[in-house]
Amino acid sequence: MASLIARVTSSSARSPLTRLLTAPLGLDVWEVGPDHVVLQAEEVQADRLEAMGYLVEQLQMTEPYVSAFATEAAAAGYHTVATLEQDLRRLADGHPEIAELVEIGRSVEGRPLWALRIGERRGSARKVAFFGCHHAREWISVEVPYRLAEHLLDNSSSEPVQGWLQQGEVWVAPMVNPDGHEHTRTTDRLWRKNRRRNERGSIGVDPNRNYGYMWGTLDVSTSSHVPSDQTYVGPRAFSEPEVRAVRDLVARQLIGGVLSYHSYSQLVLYPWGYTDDAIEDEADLSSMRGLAEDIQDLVKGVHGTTYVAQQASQLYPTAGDTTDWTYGEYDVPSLTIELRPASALEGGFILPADQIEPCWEENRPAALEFIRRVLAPPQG
Amino acid sequence: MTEGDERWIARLTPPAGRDVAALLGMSLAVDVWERHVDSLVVAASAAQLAELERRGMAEVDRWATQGEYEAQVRNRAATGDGAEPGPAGAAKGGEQSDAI
Ligand SMILES: [Zn+2]
Repeated sequence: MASLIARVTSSSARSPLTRLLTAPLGLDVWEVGPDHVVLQAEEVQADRLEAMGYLVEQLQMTEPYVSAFATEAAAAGYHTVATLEQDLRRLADGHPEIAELVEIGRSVEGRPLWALRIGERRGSARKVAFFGCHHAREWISVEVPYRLAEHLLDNSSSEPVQGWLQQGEVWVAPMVNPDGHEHTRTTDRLWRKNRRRNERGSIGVDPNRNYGYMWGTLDVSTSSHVPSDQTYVGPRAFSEPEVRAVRDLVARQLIGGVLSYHSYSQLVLYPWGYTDDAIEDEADLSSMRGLAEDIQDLVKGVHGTTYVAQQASQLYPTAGDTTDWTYGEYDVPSLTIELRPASALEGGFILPADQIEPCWEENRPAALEFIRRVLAPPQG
Repeated sequence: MTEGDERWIARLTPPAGRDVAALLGMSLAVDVWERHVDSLVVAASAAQLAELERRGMAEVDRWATQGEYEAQVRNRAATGDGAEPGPAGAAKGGEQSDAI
């Protein structure tokens, strides 16, 4: 894997730039100028070039955009890592008989990963899980599952929620990637990955490419083996502690259905992401596609917003995502919802805070329907 | 930050005879934000975009640097006006987008 992008110049006749283009040095040349060459190279190759008399200047792949986001987040109505913890704790403390705040793991930088368990008793047979913020910059994906937890607790004494919480459990983990989220708040609003320090200096693994079903089977822009890429799959499946935390929760609790929130684009995605082939099991396909289409209709019914139900790979190819793993490994209903907005023109990842509430409102009946289907007693 | 390193938000259109799926099938080191029928919206460094053009892999329509884009979006949210980041036609032809 290439490790750095460098601008190479030479002031020495013994090391002409043309030699870089013709010699079998295994370099990936990106740009050729009259006085320089830009190339991608392994660190050892760069060292070798320097030894040969070239001047090698490393170009950073990204530059943090220092901004006022630190205060903006709170002012704008989005949670931060700290306020989310406070609010989850407040919800749990306010409903001790049915809610429990559980640390399901720790992030790369040591932040606790919180999940709220909601249900009258531990160890119910039927459980459903909601996840948010695998991707740091997708702030709205924290707010929808958080508000779902709040809604369930506020309505725990009335039907249908009461019945669900008597017979099952709802697990809500609104922020799977707190390190990345904090980085978007303080340094680079459009950061996507976690904050893993990769070999050779780049930072971040894409948590939504790190799950162990068909992991690493693609090497494309949207599912990459290059550590500096935005969709870097990591060195191996489940290499990331955030992803292991989700894995362990799903595995230990035998979660019966998973809905993972992302943004943006307004889509309801069902497996597979790793292949264009449809799910083989006809009953599973019809059930998950049907659920996705029902969700599309439920969302539209609230504010008229169009979310489109489709197979995940129709968006683009992704190997190692959450829902391919939960369906592929556990055969449970597994959906990804890409929340508001529809396009970069409407803010893209930087969704104006006045859209948090309508976005939650339109997703509420869909989330409740997902719970209903997963927690419903088996037929027959 | 060097010039080649500045990040841009851009639309990539594959050349005649190639489709978006083919573009997605390559390892381009770009951050795909939106997929449309005939184009992608991506974030990528100036050097990466220049390389795509040089190799004839895509026509590149640069909308704004990442910093400009962020400022436009935040400004629009703050003022509530309809000023759009990027060119007015940028939303056309769009069925679907972004980031699983
Ligand atoms: Zn995402």
